[in-house]
Amino acid sequence: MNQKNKHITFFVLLAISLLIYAFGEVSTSPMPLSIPEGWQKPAYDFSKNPLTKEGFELGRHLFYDPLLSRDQTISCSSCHLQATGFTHVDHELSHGIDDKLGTRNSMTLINLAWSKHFMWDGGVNHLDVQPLAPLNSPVEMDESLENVVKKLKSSLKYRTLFFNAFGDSLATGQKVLLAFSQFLLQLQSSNSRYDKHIRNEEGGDFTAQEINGLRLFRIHCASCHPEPLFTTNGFAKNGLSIDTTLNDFGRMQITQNPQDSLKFKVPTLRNIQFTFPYMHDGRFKKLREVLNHYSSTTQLSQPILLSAEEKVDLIAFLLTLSDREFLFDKRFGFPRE
Amino acid sequence: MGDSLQINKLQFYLSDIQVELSNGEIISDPQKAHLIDIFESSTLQLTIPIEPKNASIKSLHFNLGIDSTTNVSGAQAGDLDPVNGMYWSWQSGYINLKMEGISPKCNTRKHAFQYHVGGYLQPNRALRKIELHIDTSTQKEIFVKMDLAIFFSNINFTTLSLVMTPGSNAVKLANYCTQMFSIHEPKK
Repeated sequence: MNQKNKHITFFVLLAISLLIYAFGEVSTSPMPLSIPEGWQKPAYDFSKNPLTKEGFELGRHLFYDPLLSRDQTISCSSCHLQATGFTHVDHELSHGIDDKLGTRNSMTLINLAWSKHFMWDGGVNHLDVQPLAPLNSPVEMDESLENVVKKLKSSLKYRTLFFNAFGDSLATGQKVLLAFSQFLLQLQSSNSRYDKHIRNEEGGDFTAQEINGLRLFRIHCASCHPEPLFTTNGFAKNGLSIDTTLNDFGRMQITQNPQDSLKFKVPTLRNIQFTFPYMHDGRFKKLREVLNHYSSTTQLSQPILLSAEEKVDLIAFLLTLSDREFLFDKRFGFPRE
Repeated sequence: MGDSLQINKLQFYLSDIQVELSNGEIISDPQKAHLIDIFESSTLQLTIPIEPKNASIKSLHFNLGIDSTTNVSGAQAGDLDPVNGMYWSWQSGYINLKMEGISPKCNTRKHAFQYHVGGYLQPNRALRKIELHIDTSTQKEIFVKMDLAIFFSNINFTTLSLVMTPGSNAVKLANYCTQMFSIHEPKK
């Protein structure tokens, strides 16, 4: 008799606690970006999408999930691998669904909070809407946001993740995009040897060669690749000749302004040691080839004159921009359940 | 003239709707934008709270399309959620109006025409402000007429069947769109 009563009490309690869970306020843990000292204000408006640990985790799961593609084969990480600065190495042009080739080399995903335009031609005007481009591209994921939302709504795992992040287990297009931004905004690289050198920290020692490389960099490269982001986040024509197999005129395709012909987004140089091949069409495999281009092209308003020794020093400096803490940060890796 | 025409899709955004009363007062629709789908009757009626209820209405103002600020403000909810398919992914921005259908005059695959009108940057801004005057209405309902014949009277299908990017053609279509709205006075 006693035993029976106990059981009843237990079930009633369970029912009540479930009700509280279902209607209670979800509490999220804030996870603001820590802006390094001396860096400018990010371009992203965090007030419209306050960063939380739960939002970040949802975004991370989405980033690594091939569910996003039409046939569940391609995830964001297919072309954006953490260990190489979140880009696609070893292929001039990145490839997507059904082994289809794109027309450009995928960009790195580093310090995106400071960027106002995305893609090599700047066609995307806000980080939130960036994921739509690879999602809809017939050679990348070939999928619609509508269908992704459908798939996410039928997944128990995602219902839980959405509930944790937004207090509502049902995905919407907006919430998918906001969650992506939550993850992408956290991909901050600011702990390279260069950063430690600037902050006078342990591990920031530079050799004489690297110091000379930094000096040369500030003279010849910094107008397009200014510290600390190593990009203006703007667009520039860098003297590359047109590849007639692609006929990619860059920014002009978006603005339809002839002045923008052959202008491409200036990429960051952070982690450049690992982000090869270089340029929008991946035409250069080695940093040496990049410097050879800049010192030989006649298409720049100011020629970059570098001796063979200076090129070696400049490359030595560029290698100090590698940030292994970022490249191997477990928080940014594949989410193991 | 006399051409056959079939419309399979007609969706567009109405945004920043304002009602101007005879006393000069302007009442703004609390909802930023509405996605209208001609084939979804539930989207064809909009309610805007007006006080006092018998106020006389002088004019109706709205945008056909989405303003540039909203176009650069990231992921939006509700009718503005990109999940609705009224958003360009490779070149960010809302599609203000989508009209798709078939006409034998189109020299395209399956004689289809596809008009996706959008673009928020100058010189190819496709947003259009519409202002409709009303001969003093105290009625509870205002009927807005959308006369597609006026739109198509401008269209030459043989030269303009596919418009799916911002640009001069989209601007042309946006201009044609403004002419088709009018106030429909119910018969007394």
